[in-house]
Amino acid sequence: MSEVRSHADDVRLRAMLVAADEAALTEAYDRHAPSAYALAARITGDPCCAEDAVQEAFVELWRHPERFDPGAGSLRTWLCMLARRRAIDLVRRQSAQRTHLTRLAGQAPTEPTVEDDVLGAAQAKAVRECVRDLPQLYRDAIALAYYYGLSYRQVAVELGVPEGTAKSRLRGGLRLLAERMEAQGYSLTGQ
Amino acid sequence: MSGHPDDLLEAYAFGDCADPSVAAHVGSCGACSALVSTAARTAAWLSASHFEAPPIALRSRMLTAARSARAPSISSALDAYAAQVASFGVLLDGLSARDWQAPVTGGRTVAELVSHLAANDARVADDLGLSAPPSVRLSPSARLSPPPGGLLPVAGLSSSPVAGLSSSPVARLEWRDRSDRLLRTVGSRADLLGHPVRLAGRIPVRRPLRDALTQRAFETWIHDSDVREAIALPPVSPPPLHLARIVALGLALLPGAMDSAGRGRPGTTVFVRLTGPGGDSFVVPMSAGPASGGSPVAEIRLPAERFGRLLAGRIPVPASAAEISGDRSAALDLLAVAATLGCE
Repeated sequence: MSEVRSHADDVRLRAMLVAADEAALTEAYDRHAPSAYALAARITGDPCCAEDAVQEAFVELWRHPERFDPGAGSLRTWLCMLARRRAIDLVRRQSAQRTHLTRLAGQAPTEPTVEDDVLGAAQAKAVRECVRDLPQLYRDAIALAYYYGLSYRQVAVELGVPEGTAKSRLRGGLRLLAERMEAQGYSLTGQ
Repeated sequence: MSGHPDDLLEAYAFGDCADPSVAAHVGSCGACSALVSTAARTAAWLSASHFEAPPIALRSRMLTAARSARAPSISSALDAYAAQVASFGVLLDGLSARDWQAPVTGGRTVAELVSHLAANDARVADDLGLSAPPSVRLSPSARLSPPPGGLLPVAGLSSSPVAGLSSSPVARLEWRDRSDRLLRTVGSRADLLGHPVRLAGRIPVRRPLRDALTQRAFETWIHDSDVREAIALPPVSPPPLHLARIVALGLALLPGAMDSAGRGRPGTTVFVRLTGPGGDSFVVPMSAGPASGGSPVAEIRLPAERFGRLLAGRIPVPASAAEISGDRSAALDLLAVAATLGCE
């Protein structure tokens, strides 16, 4: 799927969703639920919680489609952001923060079970490879911030390092990942 | 970095922080904006780095929950308008700052044309007694802040070919607000479809909302074509089913318009054969007065898409290349009045 077509599809789905056209909701679900579910499952480590997070993300989209701005990012990114936030909320309700490092240690990268479009699959593979190639210290800081919603100060506490160290690992890792993806010619709109 | 919300920047970039003071700071601080941009881009990539099919039952469970949160539309009356809103939205997202100032037909700029369209959309909502949502009353700078829980207008995304809505003219934001308002309201209120509202155009006419929605699709399509012409892009026609609705509405308005223009011919009809996608055949009375039941005095034949543009006043009658047989004067009268049914 080309970036232009992906953007046009997102704008079309947004208009239909605003008009309460249920076909748009099912189309958005069929396209993007696998990304949102994989993300929620990685965060929660629990299929039931992941299902709840995905359901809440799509219901939120259905209730307030106007909040999705196709000019600022793709529908897939938007839905994943909603699912991520719900998943983090569920994890926070259910477990103590001290389990983070344990979870990270056991969180080997999973291989995809469904890849429904060629560009999305290629891009996802590139992301996984870029993450894999990051130094472990950067990966841990990013995982704590992104998958668990921790600030760099909280990351410092979790990792037992000075705040400045946590900040530089987190921001250095984020920057490296962005640079490596862009160096491979990827942009955000094809997601 | 005293004064910078340093520890909140990643949370803001990941969509976890809706604190307006953070948004305001990021919007005005180049260093923080750059950090947020990098973090937001990375988050977007990370979010879709894996795929995993959810359990099959989740789909129906989600739909049940969605339906209870907001009822789905039960009408297809919005289809044509929603399709044109989507098409126009994509077009506007791709405009450069220079494009927005390009001249279009009628002596307007693209930005002024979009404002005009937004005003006509708003008029339908006003006739339905809907008040404007708070977002359209905000100042331009306030509109640029992300909504609670919203994705960020990140400066770094401007490298994307479709990013940059945050720098769009106010007209773009106004039009989206107005079209959103109409789509959302009508999508949940099928009972309003028979409610009479004013149509846009030179002649004051009130028609049921369902006709006004077809007219909104018509005007949005025509202005989509105007903008495309202004920036040297080829025009795009509506899907045939939607075009068929548009030309049928135009023909339904014609008898009254003939009378208003002083060219009504009670008891006279013209056979109009619209060809190509969206085409059909119609017997059109030349007055809203009583019909005589007699045979059409003339036949007009032209492509439906061309007739749609003629209705909007974008193609002069002599240039329409309409094939006419029978009473030429009657046929030309009908076409001349048809060409006044645009929404200017």
